[in-house]
Amino acid sequence: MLQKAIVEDKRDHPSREWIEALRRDYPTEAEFDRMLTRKMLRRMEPSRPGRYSMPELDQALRRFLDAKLQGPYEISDMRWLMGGASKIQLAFTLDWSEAGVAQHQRLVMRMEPEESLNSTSRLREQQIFTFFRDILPVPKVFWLDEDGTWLPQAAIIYEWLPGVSTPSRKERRVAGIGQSFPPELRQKLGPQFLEALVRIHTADYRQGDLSAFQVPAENSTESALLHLNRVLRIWEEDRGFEFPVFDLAVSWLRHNLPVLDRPSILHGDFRAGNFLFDEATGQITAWLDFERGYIGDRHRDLAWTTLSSYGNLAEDGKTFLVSGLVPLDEFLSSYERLSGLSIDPARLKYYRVFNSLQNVLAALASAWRVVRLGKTHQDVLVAMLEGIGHAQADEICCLLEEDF
Amino acid sequence: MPNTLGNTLQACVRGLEQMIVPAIDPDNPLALEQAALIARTIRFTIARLPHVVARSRQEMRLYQEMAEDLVSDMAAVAPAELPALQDEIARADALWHDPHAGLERIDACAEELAARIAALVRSCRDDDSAAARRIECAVLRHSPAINRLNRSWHVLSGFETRPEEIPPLPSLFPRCE
Repeated sequence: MLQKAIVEDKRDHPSREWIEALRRDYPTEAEFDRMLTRKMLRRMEPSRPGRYSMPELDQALRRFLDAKLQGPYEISDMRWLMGGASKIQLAFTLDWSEAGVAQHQRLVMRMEPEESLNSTSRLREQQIFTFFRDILPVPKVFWLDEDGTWLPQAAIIYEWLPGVSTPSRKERRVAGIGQSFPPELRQKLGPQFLEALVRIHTADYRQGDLSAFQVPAENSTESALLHLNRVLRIWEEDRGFEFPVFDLAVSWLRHNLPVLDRPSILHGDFRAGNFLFDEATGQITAWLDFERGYIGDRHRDLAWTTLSSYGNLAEDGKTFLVSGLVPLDEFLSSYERLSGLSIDPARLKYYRVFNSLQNVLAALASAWRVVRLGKTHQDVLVAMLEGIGHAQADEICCLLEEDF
Repeated sequence: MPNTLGNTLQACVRGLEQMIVPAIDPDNPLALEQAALIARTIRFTIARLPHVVARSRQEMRLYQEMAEDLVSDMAAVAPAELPALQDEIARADALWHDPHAGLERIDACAEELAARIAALVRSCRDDDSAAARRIECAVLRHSPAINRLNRSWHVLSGFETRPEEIPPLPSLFPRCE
């Protein structure tokens, strides 16, 4: 159902007046507002895929390091990193000297494409990695190019950590979505997976610099409304066609905005595919991809993690495994026991609907626009995400059925 | 002369997999992944090409049925918009019965129906009437069939966690298709 949408529309060439109107109509967190505004302003720039070739990125990286490092340095073994659909990731080795001491480090450069499925903030990523350094295995951040001053787009450079995201003897799923794990690995990874979520949600966000994050008011619906506005704004910015289920879900969400009892740091995409582990020992070696994280309701993460699309059934064909790792009932009861935080079924349901809506948004609106405008280095993969959108729309219908 | 497009597309897949992929630097996983995904997309196209028109027709029909279910309550909730929706329903019905209707017109009609229904749902948001609730219920009642059609269409892309639960695409078309 794409024929009419192929005709030029205002979303391809947004005017400044329209961008301002969207900002006014859908107030959201300040840093998200900055990212979305930047996305729309840059949408008007011509697509230049050549800027993202390895030689071009190597040159850009050298310009960046020239500005950041005092003395000589050497870059070697630069290669693409795979696994995601929203960012450009390169690994490289850097040799340099700091205060006369030789440094040798394997690093990762994580950068926005010209337009991402998720227009998120590298500054927030830097702050959240730094915040969790003593709490979770996360990479040390070395440098940030917040607005793409030296590199083609905003980027973060952090420590490369060893590990794999998928078991080598299992079929590798795109972006780790619906990944399965053999039982012996589940036994080792499952408790660590759960514990990490508990640590994230119980961390005191006041004990570090999270200045790029907004702390929403407790005992209010502010958090839920800010993020519903963000979704609605992106829907306005990106969609190529109408979808009545989307509007129906928005109506339900508006009528059921939940009150936030306790702000928690949220990972935002807590699932298999976003952690690395050592296959021999079963130890989680890194937590990555906090880009969708914010300070808000823990039920947002719990609902995301327990989405049916991100898990699968155990060998008995009946037990649903959260992220392919932990049986659902055990996951929820253990979370409450370990965190001391309650799970409210009504809020869990709200965020299930909200998360499915976010996935519909990304798969049917943002992915469509990004591919149409040729904005990423892997548009073929982004185009294939459409299938997720319809599965998520179905999930919304199932969830809403009992309330209509 | 038979349609040889499928044969040509199969050749594209073989060319990619047997000639191009082996020539890619194994240290370039991005290029390898893109090549593999392009081959997968061509296979997807080969499998779906015979069903393109039937799928579009069916989606239009499902939106038409949804719209027909909304007409009586729309008269109460958004009377000014009703004639346009009724015109679109009539257009969909004519296209459904026209064996020569082109894909572009079918898709445009389905899109117009979806747009009018979406606008109606939005107009129900601040309306507490029973008619508004019935409109929302009808949209919810008809949507799973549209989702099922699209999930079945996309099942080959590999993102369904339980693909065996998705009905085969031809089973979702009326028998005459």
